Amino acid sequence: MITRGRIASKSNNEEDENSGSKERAFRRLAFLIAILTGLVLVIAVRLFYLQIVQGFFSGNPQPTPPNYAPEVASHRGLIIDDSGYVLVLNTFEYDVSAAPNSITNTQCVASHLSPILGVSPGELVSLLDPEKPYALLKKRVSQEVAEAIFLLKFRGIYLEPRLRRKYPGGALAAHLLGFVNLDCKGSYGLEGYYDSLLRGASTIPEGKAYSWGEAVPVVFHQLALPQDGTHLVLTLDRNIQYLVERELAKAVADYRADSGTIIVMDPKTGAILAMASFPSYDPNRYYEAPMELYINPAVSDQYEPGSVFKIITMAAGLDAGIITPDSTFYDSGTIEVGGAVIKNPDRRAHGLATMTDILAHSLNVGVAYISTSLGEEKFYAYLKRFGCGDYTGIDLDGEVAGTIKEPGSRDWYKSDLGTNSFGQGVAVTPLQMITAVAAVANGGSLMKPYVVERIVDDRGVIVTQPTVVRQAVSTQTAEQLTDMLVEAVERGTELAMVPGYDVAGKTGTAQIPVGDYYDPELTIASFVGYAPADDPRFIVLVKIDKPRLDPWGAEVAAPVFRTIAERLFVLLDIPPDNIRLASLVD
Amino acid sequence: MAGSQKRSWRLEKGSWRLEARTTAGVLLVLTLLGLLSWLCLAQASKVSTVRYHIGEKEAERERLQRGNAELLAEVMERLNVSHLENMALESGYVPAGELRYLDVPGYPGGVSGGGLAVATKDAVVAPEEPRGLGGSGVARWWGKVLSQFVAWAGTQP
Repeated sequence: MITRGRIASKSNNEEDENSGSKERAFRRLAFLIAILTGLVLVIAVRLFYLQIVQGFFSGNPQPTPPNYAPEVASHRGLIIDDSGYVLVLNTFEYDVSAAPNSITNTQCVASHLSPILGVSPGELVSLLDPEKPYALLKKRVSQEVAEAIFLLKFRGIYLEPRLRRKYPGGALAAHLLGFVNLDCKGSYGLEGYYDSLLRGASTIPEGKAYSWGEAVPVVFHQLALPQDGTHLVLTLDRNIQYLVERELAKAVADYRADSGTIIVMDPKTGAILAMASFPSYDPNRYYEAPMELYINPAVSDQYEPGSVFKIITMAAGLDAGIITPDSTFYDSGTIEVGGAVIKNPDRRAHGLATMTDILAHSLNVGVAYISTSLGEEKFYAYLKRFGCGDYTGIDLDGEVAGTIKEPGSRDWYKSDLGTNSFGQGVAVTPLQMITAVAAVANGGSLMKPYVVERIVDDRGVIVTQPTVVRQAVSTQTAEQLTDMLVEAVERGTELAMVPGYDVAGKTGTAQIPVGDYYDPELTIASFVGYAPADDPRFIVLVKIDKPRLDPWGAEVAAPVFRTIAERLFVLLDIPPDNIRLASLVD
Repeated sequence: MAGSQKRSWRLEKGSWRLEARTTAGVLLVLTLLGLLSWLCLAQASKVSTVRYHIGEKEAERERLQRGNAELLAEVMERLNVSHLENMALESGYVPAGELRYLDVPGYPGGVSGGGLAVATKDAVVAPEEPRGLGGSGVARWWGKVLSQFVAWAGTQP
């Protein structure tokens, strides 16, 4: 019994032990489950906070994690000339940086990089302090240097590309092109005007990142590529541009002038074939040039045009019907308008003169007679029709509208009606002047000047269509005036003539206002002309500022026009008039 | 006593069955979770690898594009008008003087043919005949002799 009793007692103890260990195991399991459940709940709450509270209610479903916004830069568009030569393109420079704490052999890295970077090994070793997480080794190294470093494949050495705008032609068309500053923003000229188009759109990848900022490699939204900038194809011809710049620099030097501007335009379309100003600068190193040079004088500087403006007055007179090319008037050498006595440039009286004589001898008295005959209202209405005092609308940065005083304004005097007729007391930009005369060359139609012929991007090509602003004068008036201008050149400006071609044009010798008076010695010598006169293919405006050896437009600007015109006939394949007209007859 | 032992045995048997079933269930769930995790990780790993290669290729493409831009810049610098002009002058070319347009009989674009005359660039460098001498045969002969003499004189040291 005792044995049995012991056995029974033992069995009971075992049962108790078994049930106790099971209970303990169950408690442990329950405890573990509770912990795991707690952890899951913490994670769930955190996820709820991130996904719903922060993500949804903050209106930012994909919060950009810190330190992970690697902007993928777009490539700035190219600028190409009429014949396909690339005037502006992109190259890259590199900032060489390092993560020294991930470099194992600092001495070895320094000794390899030293000759490539041109930095002493000692300096590099000090820069590569292993305790530092980041070190900039050298800024803006060339592609060649970057390539050499890349091939070394050093861990912890990084190359950060930096866009650099390159102008392979150097100073060629610098004023027209503008430049891109260190902040990658286009300034002046085309770079400024078309900055948003040229720049394109950079993208920030919609990626995921760890909380410590490193990108998660599995990124599905990073495939949105940056949109490269559009390319601009210009109406500019680099050969003509080069020719014009060379002749301008030569003229400024030869006549000891301060500066100058030349514009070449297609009068039928308003397309700019060349636009040059001197002195200029190299946009590759724009920061070395004085800021005054950044401004494009062809569109931003206004001046009193002088006798070139007589073309506008004559056109107004002819179109209004108050004169004909054969009309005569008696030139007594002076005329009084609004109390001011106007004299001819040569201070002489020319007696009975035709309207063509007025242009050939550039008689101030003659054009003052026309403007007074027209009257204030009509005269200024015609100036406006030729675009005076208004923007031409050219696609270049920094255009100014010029200045024209109108009757009724406080600063307008009756005498202005007389002086304005020969380009005094009225200010225009060189571009305005050539555009106005181009209207005469183009049968009276005033065209909107433009520089960009085509805008090219991934989506297609946008071609600029020539735009007629308005009919400034009738076609008949334009033709009559062209004939008069041809005769004026033949009789008064032989230095502008090109053998074999009829050239229509007019000189200008403008005084320069200094305060309330005009400079007694210095002038602006100019010439505007177009050819072939019967079917103009180009119009050229030459403006030389303050030539000290000779003040006259006929002697300073006209020869420059002739030199340029001679070359233009070749570059544009324009045969002499007799051959061209003979072919038309046949 | 025997009944108690039998009950205990049954309990143990039931507990064992329960544990075996639970263990099997847990194992099955773990296996399934493991399988799913493995599939997910394998897929993630594959995507990561592909993405890494794409990144590498993109970087390489970017690097080549930058190299290409550098080459284009170099080509354009060499095509610079002033550079070309200097090269031409160094090679012995001279700036063209007066141009002459020649009428080429029978040429489709010529005046005789009803079209435009051809602007021959060869005419650019052709020496001009002395003025006033071009008319007579003697004068033409003299002009020819003279130009030959000038050419010969030019070759002498």
